[in-house]
Amino acid sequence: VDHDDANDVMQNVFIKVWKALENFREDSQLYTWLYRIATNEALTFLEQQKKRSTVSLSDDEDGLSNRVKADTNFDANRLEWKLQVAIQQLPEKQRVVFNLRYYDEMPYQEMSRVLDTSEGALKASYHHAAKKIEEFLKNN
Amino acid sequence: MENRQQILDELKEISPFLAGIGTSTPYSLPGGYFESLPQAIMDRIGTEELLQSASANVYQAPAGLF
Repeated sequence: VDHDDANDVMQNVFIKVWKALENFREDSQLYTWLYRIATNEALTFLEQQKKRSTVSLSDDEDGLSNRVKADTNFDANRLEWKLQVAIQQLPEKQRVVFNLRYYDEMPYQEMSRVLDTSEGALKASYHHAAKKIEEFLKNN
Repeated sequence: MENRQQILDELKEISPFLAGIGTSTPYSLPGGYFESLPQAIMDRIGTEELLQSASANVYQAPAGLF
């Protein structure tokens, strides 16, 4: 996923927010609502990319990793980049949970509202994701 | 947001190795990206609204035709 893709998704998110603003229910936090729209938009984009791609579904995680490696600034010796490659190897749900927790420091309670998933399941996903990333980084 | 330390402590229990890496991302943005983003979004919204109103009027029958 390059900058242009991310830019398209970002703009789509804010256009959806603009159009749906009058339907925003104030019983949820604006921040939760924004994350929900952004997460759905990002996953929809990846799903569309998957459908357009000629590679098989089992290659999907490798496909995402290859896109990270294709970044013009990619440096295989830098740990931040290795971590990005490792994250792309995760199944979709674990990838989302890990990013929201690790980078965005989102409490499980909020994440539960964003992803419609129980806090227990999110904690388990995060645990599995962290273990898989550790294993990947130690072996690559 | 939850206390950064709480999240770090949780990660230390799961994977001390990962907890030691740090959370900066290697991605960068073109200069001035966020400054120009609001205008880019408003331009797209304007274009979409224009197209919508145009397509709504294209097949309008002249008054009194039927």
